[in-house]
Amino acid sequence: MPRGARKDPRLRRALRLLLLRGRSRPGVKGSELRKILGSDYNKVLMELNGKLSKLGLRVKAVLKRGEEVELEDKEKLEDAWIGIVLSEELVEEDLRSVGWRIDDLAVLASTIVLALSLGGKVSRKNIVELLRTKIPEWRIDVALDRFIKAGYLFEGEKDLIELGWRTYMEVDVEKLIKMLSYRPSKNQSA
Amino acid sequence: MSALPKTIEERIRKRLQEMKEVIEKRQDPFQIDVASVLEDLRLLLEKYGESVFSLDAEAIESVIEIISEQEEWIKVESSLLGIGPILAVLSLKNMDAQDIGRALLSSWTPLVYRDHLTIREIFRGLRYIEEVRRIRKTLGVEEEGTLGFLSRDYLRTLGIMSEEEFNAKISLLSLKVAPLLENNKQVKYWDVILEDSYAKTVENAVLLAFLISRGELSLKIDPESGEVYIVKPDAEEIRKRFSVAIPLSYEEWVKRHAERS
Repeated sequence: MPRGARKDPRLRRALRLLLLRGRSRPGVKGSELRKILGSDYNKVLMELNGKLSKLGLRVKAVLKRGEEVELEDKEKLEDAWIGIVLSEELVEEDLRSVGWRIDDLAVLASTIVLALSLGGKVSRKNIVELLRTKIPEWRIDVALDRFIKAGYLFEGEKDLIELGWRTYMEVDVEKLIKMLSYRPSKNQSA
Repeated sequence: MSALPKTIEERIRKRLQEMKEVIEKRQDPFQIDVASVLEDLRLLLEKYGESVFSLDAEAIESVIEIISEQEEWIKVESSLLGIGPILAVLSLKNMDAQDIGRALLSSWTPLVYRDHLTIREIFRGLRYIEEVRRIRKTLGVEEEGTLGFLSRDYLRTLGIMSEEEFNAKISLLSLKVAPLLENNKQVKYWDVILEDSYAKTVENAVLLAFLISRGELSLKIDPESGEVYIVKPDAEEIRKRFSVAIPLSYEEWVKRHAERS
């Protein structure tokens, strides 16, 4: 933008809407943004995305079941949940400031993989059985409760756990499965 | 045939570099448009002939590598759709918690947001502060928070009653229910507990629960309507004791109170 040109005030408004948690979860639905920012709201989001990328952040839009939507795709964007995520993955040293332990992440990763291998739902018992030799049982339960409260997982009837909206927003599930499925053994990688 | 201009050579080298990066970094090989690369090379070869031979050979080598990567990629992707998660579960069994956690870490980009107070929450906070202030004045507790005795009046303000008062209230309720059960086999639960204030209604429900626990009264539920009745307990009912949860929400009280009015 040339120096002195007027900045679109909608840019700051979009940033506010995406950053501030209004209800139980951060982010805004595309249809809500359209009402507030106007019909070309996706252009505002694209401009915002360009500016955020310099800070290591990006605007992400996902549909209910995790399909990521391009900001150009106005039609799909309407139903998508839009938020701001980090554009680069965290490193282990950052975990302390985020409030999760590496053990906690192992619980979430295992739950995601187990749920996907079992058609979308997994019981607490199955998760505990898989992890009990690696992590103390009480810690698994505490971590599961925390992930449910934070929206990463959803616990329905009969203690069956499904993936929550936040997992779809934050975790590249496909990449996780690839990393775990095609993991070279220690001998191979050496 | 003319010599290859510098700009065109640089363009081709840039495309070569892109292909090499895709192979080295194991990125999606389909981001390289192989057809357009081959078309460019064909045009170059036609126009500049021998002068582009070495560049052409280098480019063809990279294209072959990209095509073989694409083949591998398709194999992996198609198998992932079906057996990926199952293979992943098998891997999980042999991995330690740290390695599993690290796998998630490298596929995790957390949301960025700020928590903030809404106007409603601010008012809730103000109300809370106001109530705390009122209680402190009523109790007259010293600023230092030292231990001491609370008078009967303070306890009454807080709604805490003595055992004698509690027993007196239970007796009163018992006396209220007894004549009703003299004339009828059963009395509606809500007819007994319902009062003009919600607090008093809840108090009656608690007292009634004590009378039922002591075995002085019993409950009966109509399976069709779900209506709860208070009855005199007989020996059979005492033997078959059961627990029942009766919701006592404010909304229910408003509804019942309006119906009675």
